[in-house]
Amino acid sequence: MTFLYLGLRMFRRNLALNVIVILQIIVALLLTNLLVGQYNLASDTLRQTAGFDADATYYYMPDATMDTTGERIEAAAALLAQHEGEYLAEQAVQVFLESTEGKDPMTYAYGPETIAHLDATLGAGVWLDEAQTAAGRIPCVTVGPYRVGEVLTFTLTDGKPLALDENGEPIARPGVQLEFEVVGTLQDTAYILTMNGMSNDPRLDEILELSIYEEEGTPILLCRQADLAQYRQQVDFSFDPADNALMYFPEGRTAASEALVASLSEHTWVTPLSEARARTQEERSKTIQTLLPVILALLFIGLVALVCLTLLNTMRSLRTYALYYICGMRWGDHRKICLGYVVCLLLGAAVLIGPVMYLLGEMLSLGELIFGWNNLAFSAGIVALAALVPLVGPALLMRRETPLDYLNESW
Amino acid sequence: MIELKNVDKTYNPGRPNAVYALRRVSLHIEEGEMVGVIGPSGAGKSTLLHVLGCIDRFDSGSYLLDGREVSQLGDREYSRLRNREIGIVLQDFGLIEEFSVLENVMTPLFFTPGMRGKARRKRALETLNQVGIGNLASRSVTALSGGQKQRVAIARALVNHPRLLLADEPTGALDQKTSAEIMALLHALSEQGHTLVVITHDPAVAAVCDRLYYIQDGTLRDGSAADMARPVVASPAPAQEAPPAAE
Ligand SMILES: Nc1ncnc2c1ncn2[C@@H]1O[C@H](COP(=O)(O)OP(=O)(O)OP(=O)(O)O)[C@@H](O)[C@H]1O
Ligand SMILES: [Mg+2]
Repeated sequence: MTFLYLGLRMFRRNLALNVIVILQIIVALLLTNLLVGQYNLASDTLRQTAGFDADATYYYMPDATMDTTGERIEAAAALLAQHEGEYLAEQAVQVFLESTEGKDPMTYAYGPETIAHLDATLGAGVWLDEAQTAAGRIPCVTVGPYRVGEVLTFTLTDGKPLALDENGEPIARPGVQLEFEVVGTLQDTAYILTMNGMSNDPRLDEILELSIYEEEGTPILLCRQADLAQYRQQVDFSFDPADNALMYFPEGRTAASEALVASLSEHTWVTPLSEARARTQEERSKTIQTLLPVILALLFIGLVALVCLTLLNTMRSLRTYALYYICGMRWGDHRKICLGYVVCLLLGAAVLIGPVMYLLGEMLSLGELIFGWNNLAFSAGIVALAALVPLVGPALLMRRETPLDYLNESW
Repeated sequence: MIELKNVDKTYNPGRPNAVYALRRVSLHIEEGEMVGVIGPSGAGKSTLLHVLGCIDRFDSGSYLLDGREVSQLGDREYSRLRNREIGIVLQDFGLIEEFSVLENVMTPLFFTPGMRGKARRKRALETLNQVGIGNLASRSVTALSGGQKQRVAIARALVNHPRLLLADEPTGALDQKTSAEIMALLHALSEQGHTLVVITHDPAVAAVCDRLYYIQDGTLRDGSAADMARPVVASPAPAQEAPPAAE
């Protein structure tokens, strides 16, 4: 404690310069954080889809290839109909749930293959394949303000625009009231399988999408198509072949399956999951390759500044150290004061990083997308380690110095 | 209390610029005595004080402080002596300019184990009152007069209640009137039972001391008021010459 206090003295002596170094530390911290965050996000999509048979699973997007005539979609639909039974196609079917209070959740219903293979990023509870609920309740996994075990009541509707009666008043949609039970929750920044990709060379982050809950406060609800099937009469959410879908071949990759994919490719965009994974990996390396040099350069500059400043401060403090020595400090303990000083810098950075991150988050509406606390902790570890390097300078400087050298200089 | 026997101290030993600062110095100081050390400039007075104050080590000889051989002590115990047993007033005040008066006086207490913040302040304030500048506690030391600075330095030396007080030309930088005040303060401390060693050029200061030592070219002998009349600047001492035998 004493040495922390004496370090603080050293810190205050050069306040302006020290604040600059603190800002530098923060910038380095944020950038490291950004890099780690980007890396983790990309890794998350790869991890979630690792359970799929990447070779025999395809992602096709008739939606994205629609021409003005709709001919291509029709051709694709006809082809798929011809080969029914040879493949499984599953969509992230969007269904519409109305809430009596609060925001309506964004809801996706998945098929059994998708549920079985997807390794969702659970924060708590279990995934849909292990869900057990009381009879009459539909299990769901959520992103939002809900807790595991919570029972939610929503009205399932067709989601079409509200019709108006002759007085111009909206006519209530037909709907079924359903009880959902939350069996699991995802992290707020989780990737959600939405299959909304619109490009002919999609990466995984187009098939999966970052949860928007953090930003917009719209909850996300994931459930099984099978649990909703019985309500299809009342509310129409049938499988539409013109929607993007993941296509599985139960027999694996065969000559027949490849032939089907080849002919389907003539009408729509088809991407093997393996390609999407490869592109994601490539993108991940590219991010690192572009960010890492910048970050290293900044870290290096910050480190040099820190080394110089610590050295400068030590040199300016030599007489003070000598006086401490006379007052009973062991000469070697100046290192502890130096350490105290660096700790003050780090504490300063720690105190300031909160507000800075908050402001950045507000300004850029990045939310936790980039500034996850776990990433930050990791980055802080790196920066703290780097901050110990400047202690070497004074240690070297002081090796040959004795307190007597500084006692007879007046100020 | 203090017993020096044949203490030698050489700066830069073995090099062309070697300086024999202390040559076979022996002295004996009783508990409660007030002893003056006089001698020309460069004679080795400050060096002697540094050795006595456990600030600097010496080459050979023996230094018994309260019966303990100081040269045998390790770093930790050596520091403890400076912190608890010895108070030192330096030639140039030796205050830390960015600290306030109170903080300067508290400095030794930072290195005293078990001293907490509150107790530190209390003790420092008491000591400031003792030297008569309790009202200046929160001032910056840069804004003080020479006499006030010297009182702060004395308070810092006293704050841990050491029994031995060493002062290097405590009036050297002060005018006559302030010098007299500071001397009165030191004398009062001596009366209270502190053991004092005072280095001085000042006859008025020497006159207050119980006993004097005279040092020239690193050689110490008993001194008298008559020695004050000697020239202040030392005759240049040939550096390479071996230490002469003690007289
Ligand atoms: N750190 C040092 N390195 C080398 N020589 C030194 C050092 N300190 C003192 N000396 C030399 O040792 C001799 C004694 O110095 P000291 O400071 O003890 O003299 P002093 O009697 O206190 O003089 P003054 O009255 O001027 O303060 C001088 O010749 C001085 O130049
Ligand atoms: Mg001197």
